[in-house]
Amino acid sequence: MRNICVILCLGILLGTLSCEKFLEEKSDKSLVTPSSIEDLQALLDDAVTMNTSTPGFMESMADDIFLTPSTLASIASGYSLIYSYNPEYYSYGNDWSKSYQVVYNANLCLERLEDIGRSMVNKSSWDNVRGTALFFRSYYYLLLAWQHAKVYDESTAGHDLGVVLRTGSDFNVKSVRSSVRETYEQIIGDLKDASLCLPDHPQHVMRPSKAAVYGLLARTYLSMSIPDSALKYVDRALAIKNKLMDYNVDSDINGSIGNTVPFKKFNKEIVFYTEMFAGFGLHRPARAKIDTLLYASYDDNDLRKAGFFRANSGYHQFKGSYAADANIFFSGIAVDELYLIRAECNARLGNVERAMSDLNSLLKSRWNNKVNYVHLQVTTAQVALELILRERRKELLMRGLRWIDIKRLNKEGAGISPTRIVDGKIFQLEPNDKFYALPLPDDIIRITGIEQN
Amino acid sequence: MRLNTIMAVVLCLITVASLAQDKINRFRGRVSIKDGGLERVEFTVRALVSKNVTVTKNGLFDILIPRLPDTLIVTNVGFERLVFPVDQIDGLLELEMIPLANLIEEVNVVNTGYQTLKPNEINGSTVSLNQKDLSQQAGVNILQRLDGVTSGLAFTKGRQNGNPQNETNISIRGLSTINGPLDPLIILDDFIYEGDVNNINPNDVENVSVLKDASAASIWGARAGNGVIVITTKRGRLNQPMRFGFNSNMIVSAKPDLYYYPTMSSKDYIDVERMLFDRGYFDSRINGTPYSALTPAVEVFLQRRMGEISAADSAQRINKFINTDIRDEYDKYFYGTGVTQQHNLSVAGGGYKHSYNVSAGYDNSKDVSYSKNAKVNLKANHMFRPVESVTVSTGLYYTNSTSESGRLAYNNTQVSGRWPSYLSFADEYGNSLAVSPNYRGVYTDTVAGGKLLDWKYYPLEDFKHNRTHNRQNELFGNVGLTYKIVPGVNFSLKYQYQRQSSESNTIADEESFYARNLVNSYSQLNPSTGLVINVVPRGGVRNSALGSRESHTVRAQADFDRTWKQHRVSFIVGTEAREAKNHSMASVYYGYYDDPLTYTNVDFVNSYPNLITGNMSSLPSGGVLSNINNRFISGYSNALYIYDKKYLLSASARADGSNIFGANTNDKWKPLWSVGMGWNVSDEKFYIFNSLLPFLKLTATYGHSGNVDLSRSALPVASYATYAATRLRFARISTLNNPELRWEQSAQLNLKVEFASIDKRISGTVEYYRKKGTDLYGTTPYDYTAWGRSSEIIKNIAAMEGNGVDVVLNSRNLSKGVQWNTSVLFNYNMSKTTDYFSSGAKIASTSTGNSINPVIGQPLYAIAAYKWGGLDEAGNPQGYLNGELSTDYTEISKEAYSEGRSENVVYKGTAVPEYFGSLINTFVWDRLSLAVNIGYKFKYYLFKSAISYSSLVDRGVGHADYAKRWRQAGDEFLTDVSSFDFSSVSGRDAFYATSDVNVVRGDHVRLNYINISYDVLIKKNTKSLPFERLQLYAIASNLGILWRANNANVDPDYPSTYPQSRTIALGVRSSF
Repeated sequence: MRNICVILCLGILLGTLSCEKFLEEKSDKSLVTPSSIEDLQALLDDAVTMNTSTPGFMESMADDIFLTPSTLASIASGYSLIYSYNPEYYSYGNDWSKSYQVVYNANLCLERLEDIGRSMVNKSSWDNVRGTALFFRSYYYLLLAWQHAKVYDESTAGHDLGVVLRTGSDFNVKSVRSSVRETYEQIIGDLKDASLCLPDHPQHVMRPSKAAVYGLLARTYLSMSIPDSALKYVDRALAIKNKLMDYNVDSDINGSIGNTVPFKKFNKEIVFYTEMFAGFGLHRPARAKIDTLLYASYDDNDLRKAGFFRANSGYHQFKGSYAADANIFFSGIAVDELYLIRAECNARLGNVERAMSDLNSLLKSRWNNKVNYVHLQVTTAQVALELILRERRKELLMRGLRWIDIKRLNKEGAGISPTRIVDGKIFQLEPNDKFYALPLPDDIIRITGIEQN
Repeated sequence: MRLNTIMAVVLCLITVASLAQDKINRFRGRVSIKDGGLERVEFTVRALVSKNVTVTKNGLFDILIPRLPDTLIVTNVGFERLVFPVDQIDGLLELEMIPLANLIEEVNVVNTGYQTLKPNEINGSTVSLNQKDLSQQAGVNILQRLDGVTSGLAFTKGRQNGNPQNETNISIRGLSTINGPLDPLIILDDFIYEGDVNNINPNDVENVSVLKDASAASIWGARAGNGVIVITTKRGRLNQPMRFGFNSNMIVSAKPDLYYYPTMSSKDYIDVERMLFDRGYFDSRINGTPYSALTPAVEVFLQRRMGEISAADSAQRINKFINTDIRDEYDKYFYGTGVTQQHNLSVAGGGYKHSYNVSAGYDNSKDVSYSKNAKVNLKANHMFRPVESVTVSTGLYYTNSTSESGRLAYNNTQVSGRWPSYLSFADEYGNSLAVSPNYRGVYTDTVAGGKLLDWKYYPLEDFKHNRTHNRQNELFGNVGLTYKIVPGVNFSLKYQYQRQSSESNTIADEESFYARNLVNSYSQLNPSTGLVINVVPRGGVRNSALGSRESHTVRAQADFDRTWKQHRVSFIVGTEAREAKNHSMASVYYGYYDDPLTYTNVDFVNSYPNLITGNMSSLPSGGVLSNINNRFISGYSNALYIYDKKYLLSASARADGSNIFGANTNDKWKPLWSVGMGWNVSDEKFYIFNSLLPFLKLTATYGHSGNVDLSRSALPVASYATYAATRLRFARISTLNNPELRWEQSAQLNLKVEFASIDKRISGTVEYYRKKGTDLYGTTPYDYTAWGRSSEIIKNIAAMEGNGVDVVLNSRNLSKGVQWNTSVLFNYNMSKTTDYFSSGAKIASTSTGNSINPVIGQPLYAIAAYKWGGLDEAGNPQGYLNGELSTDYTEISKEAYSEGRSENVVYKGTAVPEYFGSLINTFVWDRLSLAVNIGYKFKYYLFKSAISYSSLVDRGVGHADYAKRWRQAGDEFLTDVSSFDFSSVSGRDAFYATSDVNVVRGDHVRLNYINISYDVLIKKNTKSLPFERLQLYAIASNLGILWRANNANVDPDYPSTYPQSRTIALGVRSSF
């Protein structure tokens, strides 16, 4: 009797000891706890998370679009408040959550990379993950800063409120707002670091590359009104990638430029591909009508007029997105933007000829080739700059760039005041309005106690 | 056929006691079987002290015992052990053995899955249902038959609670978790069952035991927090004559009543569309996306505006719409009477060394929407006892079921996201009419110059061309070996293999709308040549999914059972390992033809523009591969000590380990335990109420069980997939890392009183329990700057407390002539949140009661509503803001939500009944018996559906209350339905829908079922016939509500859709 009990107990004990092995089997083969470099690269290749939700609030607020009274009547009243530049309660499911998801992925990868360590064997993939993570984090920090912080001003940047800079994946770490200076310093530092890690050309334009890093650095410096640095990096970016589409005929154009969806996705101009989040939905193409003066400023022989717009209820809606979908805006970095950055920097630095050469190359590729393109010629840098800024707006509309352009141009006294009309009442956003730093989500303010704009 | 040859053996043998020797005493005796039996049964007769052993022959034995006194022990596996002390020779000993089979039939044993216990050996709270209880209701699902006859068990009916963790809709004694799994654990023949419950044929079930408290359930460990339902199928028994059983029935379900709830009249509906049209609401759709489908009435208004039709023509067409009710169409074309047939044949028996049970069942049904199901069950159990100490049992259970989809279910016809109530599916000659769900007919008819396939949807035809076939095969096999080491000590090994494979094929043939729409949408039109290239080949689309579920379970267990004088000790200790694998794969075939069987390869990679919208997309590839492998190891023990048959002490312990993903090794093991004690008060000498209550027992138990959610993890878990556009593999974090995550704890205290009066005229149990859940998973808002994928994360932050009462009272009102028995089931349960460490939990926000809304001090499923301030003079619903009447809905909701003020929110009570149960009256008169089951649910609330003008405007969803709306000043005194609001004022509809004017009481009494049976033949009366028993029965179910507290005519079990159809089952049951 007793012997049997002992044997049984021993058997059970032995069974228990060997179970640890039995329990080590993975429960779901499609799941991982990210640990290898391949896992980390895969996290950064999650294009839906990483590339398809750049901040869109600021595009809703910019002056390229307006809403008709009947459209306004059909949307929720809170959104029409926002439309007329009034702060309105908004919470989860927004640019903030979308952007910080990217930041989390980037931070998780950077943390795990430290655990893995760089070796002779893994260095190229290790570098690529590191560069990619740094790039993505900077990309979203910059857009959030454009949207939620005041424009960079050397004199006040030290105490103007920037974005929350998170540097780890632990959700128990409290969020605090950095200053604008800290935000831009972090971005620039990370990008310079990333430029050493990434290849010239990416495997796919949804992954960053050296060209993308230089392009983003140029974007950053331009938005900080530092043209010489911007010029330095845009030159490097264009040295890697500089092909423009010919809107007359191009393998990346679907049939003809007048088609509903004229451009192919991932076309040759794209340096780095992202799409804009619909957010409040105010800038959705079917709702948002293009500013009539802006539309009128296109020459009939400018193919962008037929390529970018189509008629809707007596006005025009935008259809020229490089995202190849009538409802999705492309917000990435493309060669045309790089041309315009270089032209603007050159104009600002007094290199009129170089500036005009870039502008003409761009415009010629947009011009109906059945009609002779007359090269634009100007003599002063100021006129060149005005011309370039006008074409910048016309070329890069609905890419999430207009809001920061208004902010930085107003800083130099451009006096742009976006205007809204709701129920016959006019709402105008004066150049110094604090609303240019758009409000943060209210639930974030409530939970974290960080300061609202 | 008649093999039942029970012989009452009366053997009168005269034995002369031998007194020849002085030292050796020779005992002779005769062993008979209670109620007769097979004479060839051999019994072992053993003398306890002298250890002499003999075996009976023809019931007689002869044994030598050297010294007296001694004790004779007579045994046979199929019989209760007999202990007979002998101290002197006293002629022929007459011993009677009681077959175990009889014991089982007399009392409801409780099977815990690890051991079978008699009610007097249990301290825990259990309910045991035998075949008779289970045959009170008809139907193909065994769990449904527990409804209304099981104390403490509640069904959530008709309500879509949307919780994937509660597939059974069953809750046992309320809840023990807030965000964890809610389903009870289901055990089939001693092993965890994770297959489709519908595969278990109710005719094959012998017993269902429901383990309710921690003491009973904790033997099942970490997944038993919600209670355990143990299903045991029929077995043959040793020494039982061969017996056939036959059961056949037909269940007829009435056509569902689509008219149960009123809907918006077609006239009102079209008036709204006309008003929207006149206000230009549809203009942006007509101009912006001219291809978008318009509802038929809007199409007519548009044609009239364009001057394409005359005013008279337009009026005539609109008139026709006004006189059409889409429910008539559904009722006429898509619903019918449902018929289910169930047949079952079984044979069982057993001899001295083996027993068997073999059965076959066939079910066939056509439901009210013409979907078809067929199922075959085959079952074979065998038990073999080669020598007395070894038992080998085997079992096989095979199920094959097939199903085919039926016709269109109600409320499934939309036109560009609107739901018109006046569509007709056929013209007056019965010809099928088209509906345009996505694109306007005038547009699709002309696009691409007629080179496309017909682009319309024909509801009357389409279901014939788009069908889903499911096929399921399930096989269980088990082998068990029990070795009796010495009497009272057994060692057993059990192994079970289960495999369920399922196949689902949805074939949309070339005439189906799905296939035609896909072919057309992906057609590439060359504008210069006019040629159309098909990216999706013409033909059908076949979506196939294969799934398999496979599990292995091995169990080793030792049982010990010994009695010394007044002490009885019984315990089991065992270990179990289990592996459950799920595989699934899916694929899609385009250009599919059944005959000859072909398909065409397509391009899944590149994107193509949609012919109409121009949006680029690639073809849906439908490919899925998944492989899940869960492993568990457990050790368990259960011990019982009984002293003097009066005092019972019990204890159980179990530890579970699993390979849950991301769990730290330490978290993989979780110990759980319980203790209990029982006291048979009526056996005490000082007990003086013998005349009143000859049986009285008190028990108390306490224990911990757990709740494991297999989807929670402490490490960041990512899932892999491939992104079509880049063709790169990507990973996405689906669960945020939370290293502090622990498993949930659930403690339960149970106090029970059992009693019976003389002759069991009145008997019953009264139980009180308290449940306490700690470390419960709770979602809590967090700073999503940290992650962003969700606004809330799961932490162990909650606690809940529940208490309740389960009462069962049985009374035998009449026992002569007409027998009349009454059973009353009464249950009370209330569960409240006691802790929820989040800012959200202090908030008084409205809650609909459809999901758990944790607010400290409030019931888990609480109904909270905005305080109603009536309609104002413009028909706007009013609430309270800072204590004043207000129509600022945004501010009202902010006040309720963000400031934690509760003045404008009213807590009405719970959304699950606090009191529920049933009253069962059974009458037996000669061969006729009648059972009537009336169920009741009291003290709970629900929201009735309310009109939403934004749904009406934006999605064309009508509501009957439209006719009762506020129309002019003064109406606010007559109606509570708010005025039409075209501009969709933010929050107005939501405020109205969740204000307390729309809360109604759910209390109601329902006639669950009536069961009538008549024994046509009983063996005793007709010896010449082969039947032992032949019974006819009829069961009527879902008979409707007898009383309800709300006067809004809401059926609280089905508040938003038509109630379940009434059914009548007719059947015959016999054994021979």
